[in-house]
Amino acid sequence: MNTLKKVLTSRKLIFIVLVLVLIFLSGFYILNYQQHLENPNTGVILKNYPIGETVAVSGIVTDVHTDGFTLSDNFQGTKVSYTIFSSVKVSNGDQVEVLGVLGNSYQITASKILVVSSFDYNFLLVRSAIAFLIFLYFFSLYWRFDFNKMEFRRVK
Amino acid sequence: MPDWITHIVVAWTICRILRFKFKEFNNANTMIVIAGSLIPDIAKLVLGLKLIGIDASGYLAPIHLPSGSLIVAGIISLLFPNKKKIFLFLGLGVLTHYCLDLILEHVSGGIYLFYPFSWWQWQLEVTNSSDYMITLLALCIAGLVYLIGKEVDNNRALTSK
Repeated sequence: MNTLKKVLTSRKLIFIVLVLVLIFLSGFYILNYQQHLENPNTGVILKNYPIGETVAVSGIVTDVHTDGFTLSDNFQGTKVSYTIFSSVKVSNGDQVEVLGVLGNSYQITASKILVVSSFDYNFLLVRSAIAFLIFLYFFSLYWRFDFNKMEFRRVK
Repeated sequence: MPDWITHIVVAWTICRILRFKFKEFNNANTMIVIAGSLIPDIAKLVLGLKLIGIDASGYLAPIHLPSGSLIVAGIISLLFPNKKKIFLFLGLGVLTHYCLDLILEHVSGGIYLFYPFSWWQWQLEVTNSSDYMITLLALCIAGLVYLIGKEVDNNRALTSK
């Protein structure tokens, strides 16, 4: 009984079980999430091009025209360039989410657009990185990793 | 995602408020809660991988869902002596992360809060991810809580003498 209890509470076993559950969750998600999207995304568009349907795509602005802009997205290594028809002002490098009706040749007539400017996006990444470094410093004041026991120990 | 300043500051503020009542929310355990608040964004590693042309967003996306985040919290808690307690602190951090992410606006969809049991997507459409007014608001509230906490600690020290 004690041996069984020891095995069931062993760190290695719990680790393996949790990793397997995580892999299962990832697999189940990848296989099913496209069927449950509110609007088709780039993955669905590449698979069965739902022309005339309202789609939701996101990406980076690569070119700006008088009647819209070009949006570049990357789905599992496949690059897609959408021509977006919209009066919303954007600039090259902006991160954009678009909801709109899919036409021929990856053209989308937008009904809703969310824009995060290139500066705002980079600023978000930089301040997040700085915050993380500060957090690591404070974390190291209270916790140290003991490589012999393979676990964190309280410092104070 | 709101920036990590917001996630860190909100997790710290909640711990500081809880410390008024519960001694367990000391500085060391607050660090664990803050670490938990950053767990869902491990999925943001895809940003780095995208730079070298690898799109792993589908594979890492479940980490940015409550069920996936809690499993990662479980894995991380194995690296601490008091696993159950640490898991609860990490879980609290994860909870604060999703409370903040829920307020973000997307053109479509939202967060699968109850995946794998439900595919219903949730979003409150309050603000977008680059809005630093939320960061400033969180910092102001944290500053206020810090000052109140200092005052309360001073009063407690005086009354105990």
